Amino acid sequence: MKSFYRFYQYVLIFLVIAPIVFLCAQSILTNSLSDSETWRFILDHMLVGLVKNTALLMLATVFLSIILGVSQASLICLTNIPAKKILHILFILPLIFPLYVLAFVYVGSFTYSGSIPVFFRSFFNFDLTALFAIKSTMGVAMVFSLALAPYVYLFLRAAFLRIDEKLIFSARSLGQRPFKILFGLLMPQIRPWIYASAILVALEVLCDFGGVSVFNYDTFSTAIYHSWIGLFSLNTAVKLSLIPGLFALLLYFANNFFYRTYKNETKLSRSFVLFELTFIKKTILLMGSLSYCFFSVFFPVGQIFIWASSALSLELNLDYLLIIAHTLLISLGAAVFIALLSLLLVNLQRNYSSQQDRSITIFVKIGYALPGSIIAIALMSVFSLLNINFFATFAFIALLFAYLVRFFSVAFEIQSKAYDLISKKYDWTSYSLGKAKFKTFYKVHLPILLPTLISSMIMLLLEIMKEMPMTLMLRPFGVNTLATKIYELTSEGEWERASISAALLILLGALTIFLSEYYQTKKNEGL
Amino acid sequence: MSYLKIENLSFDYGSINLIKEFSLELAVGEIHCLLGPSGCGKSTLLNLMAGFLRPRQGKISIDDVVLVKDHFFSPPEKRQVGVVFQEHCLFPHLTVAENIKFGFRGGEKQNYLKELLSLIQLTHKAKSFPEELSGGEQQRVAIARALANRPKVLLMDEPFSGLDQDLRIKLRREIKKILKSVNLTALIVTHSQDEAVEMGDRLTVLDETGAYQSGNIQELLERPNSVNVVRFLHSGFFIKGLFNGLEQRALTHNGALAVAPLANFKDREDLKVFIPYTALRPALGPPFLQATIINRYPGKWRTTYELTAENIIGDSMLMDNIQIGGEFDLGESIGFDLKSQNNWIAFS
Repeated sequence: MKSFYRFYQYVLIFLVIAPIVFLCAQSILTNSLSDSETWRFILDHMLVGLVKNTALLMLATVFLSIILGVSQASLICLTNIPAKKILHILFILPLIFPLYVLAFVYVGSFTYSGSIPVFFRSFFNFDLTALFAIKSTMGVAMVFSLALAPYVYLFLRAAFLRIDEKLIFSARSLGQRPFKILFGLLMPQIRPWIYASAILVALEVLCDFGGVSVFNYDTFSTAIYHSWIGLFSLNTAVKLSLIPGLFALLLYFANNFFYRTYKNETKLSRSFVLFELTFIKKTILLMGSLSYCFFSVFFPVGQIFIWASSALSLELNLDYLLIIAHTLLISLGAAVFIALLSLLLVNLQRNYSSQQDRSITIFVKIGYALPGSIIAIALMSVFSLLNINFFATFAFIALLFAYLVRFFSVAFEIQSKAYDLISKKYDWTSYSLGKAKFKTFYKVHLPILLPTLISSMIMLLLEIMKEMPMTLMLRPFGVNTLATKIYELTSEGEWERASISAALLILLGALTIFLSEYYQTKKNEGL
Repeated sequence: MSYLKIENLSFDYGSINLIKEFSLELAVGEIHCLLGPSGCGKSTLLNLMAGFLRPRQGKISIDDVVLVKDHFFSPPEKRQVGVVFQEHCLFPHLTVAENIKFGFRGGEKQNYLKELLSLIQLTHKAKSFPEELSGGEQQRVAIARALANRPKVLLMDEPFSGLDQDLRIKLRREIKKILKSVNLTALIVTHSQDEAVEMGDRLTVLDETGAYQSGNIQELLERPNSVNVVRFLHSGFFIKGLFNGLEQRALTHNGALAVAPLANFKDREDLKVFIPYTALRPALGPPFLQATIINRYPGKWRTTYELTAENIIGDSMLMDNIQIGGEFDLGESIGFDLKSQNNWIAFS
């Protein structure tokens, strides 16, 4: 079985890495005259701008997201602010928005003819767009950070909750003031998580295609897509992919370097308070938090539902049932498929892995760092080289494969962390009672892991439903999902019509987040 | 007649040779305690016997059925060796009854479940989940579950460590009764001398160097084979001496002491002679040992004194008010005499 485990792990690594390696090889080996002209054009006129745009957007978004995330996590974990549970839900609720949905809400509302500038012009005779342009680097970064701050928040909240409470008590008993404890004791401990979450946000920005397309903000993702769709040059798209692809890999390995956990004897209790807030401070901080929630949740949700209700009578037809069915079918099928493949790997890893085997799982997870458009391009290149009629026969398989490459790490991370929490002594007890490995898995691990398995499927479902570039590029002919429908309509500036799909997507997203939180609680109860 | 046989078992933990050619034989129904300080390899020995670890060399057999020898290795699920851990490891998703039934081999009847539940006196908690049980109840369920598989041998790793003192004493008596009632051969790992002495028919004392000694408590107390065994089982101190082969005595600064013939010492060989605290009494005449009180620790029932004396090996001795014959102040000097002229335990 040990050799099967190794074989399985290497097959998965091969499946994840092969398209990327192929992409590199193809960009070096193949070239046509028109391809080289297109590439020369991009090199001369676009590349500097693309690098500048992408880098600036990444830096600004990371900066804003970290500020938001650190403040939110400190507020929830270290203060006596009221209604923590509600605030926690509100802080993570923006996760229901794909970047492109939040982007089109803000573009639709804040451009010159949008509802907000119109309101300002008619009531205050003031041109808001002259003061602040939403289609600028800062505008895009602000909108992106509203949607990405929850990642930082969740990371840092987990980091704070891992801190040994007794360390803080010791520091206090030594006469340290709360701010000194925060910056002298806590921040150094959570620094790896800050770096890791900053890298995660940077990767999300780098991988985003839908959001920047709505803003007409040119980054590598949009350039890759347009090289292929607009300029019909797969080779140029491939070459362009290499730059962000390599940078993403660099960030990915940096993330693995920074991310580490401390093993502490005790943890921070949910009722812990480092900063006792006065009534005035509580009020100010609550107002601040609610304004974030207004811009990240209430305003976009309200705008989407207002637009959706106005477009409902014209737009809603039976096609939407088909779109929802396609979305759920594709997402659910892929989520179950990937979660089960991952479960097989984590189980084999538990039983048969050595330290060395575990260290190479880093390569299985690599796909999450790669922009979807790059994975799609890589797969299309492989299929076109193999002369397979891509659009007809193998499109669904290619899409499933692309999801596997990109999202395997989502399931693997959740499942392997939960599996590690099950003491090895449970296995030993079961063996000593005459149950072999499979029976131990089936009778002990699986019932304990079931909430985690479901939770990983739900997270996958959410990610796949929101995913746009791969679905857009690899979907079977004539098949639309909610994400692709949004792209189709927003690329024509049809905000109102797009908001029906967006409303459906965020409803499904909210449902999955609710279910995920539910199973998360169950998981914690189980162990 | 040996039932469980361990022969020349060796195991390396990385580059450390943790278990060195360990051998042990247990009779049917024997309760044997493995005693030793942390890190001496007690739990590793248990894991080797259960099949969770593979030894570098050696042989293990139960009732003449070989479990490990050379390249042959029987997996844990085929050994019929029950294991109870300190952490109980009850499956959190199963009730008490389901946890016990988990260990049933095919064809076991409901009656056996009732029998086991009544054995551990938890019939009324059959439908409870582990989190609803106290530490002592969880431990009893873990034992019933281990018995459910009708093991040939039961291994217990520090089974009472996580429990409070009173419960520990109560539970070890109950569990000894259960093990004896089913005549099960058991090997119990512990670092508590009291536990080992009370539960074990025989003991094995291990030390960090891999050395060990097995026997019943009387044998170990009277004929220990190393300084570490003495230190672990007794309370006392060593004094320096010079062996006089003609008289079979150790000449010390405190007088000549008859030495037990445990080893062939050479004439004029340097010895360490062990004097247990229980062998001392306050001196009425010229003392054997003059000690000074350097620390005093009052307790609920007795006061512990730290004393220093010339010629002893080590810095100080710890004795209580009963052993030193009353209450004293810091700096006071006390003279001790030997209660009898034994053959004292000595090592070169």
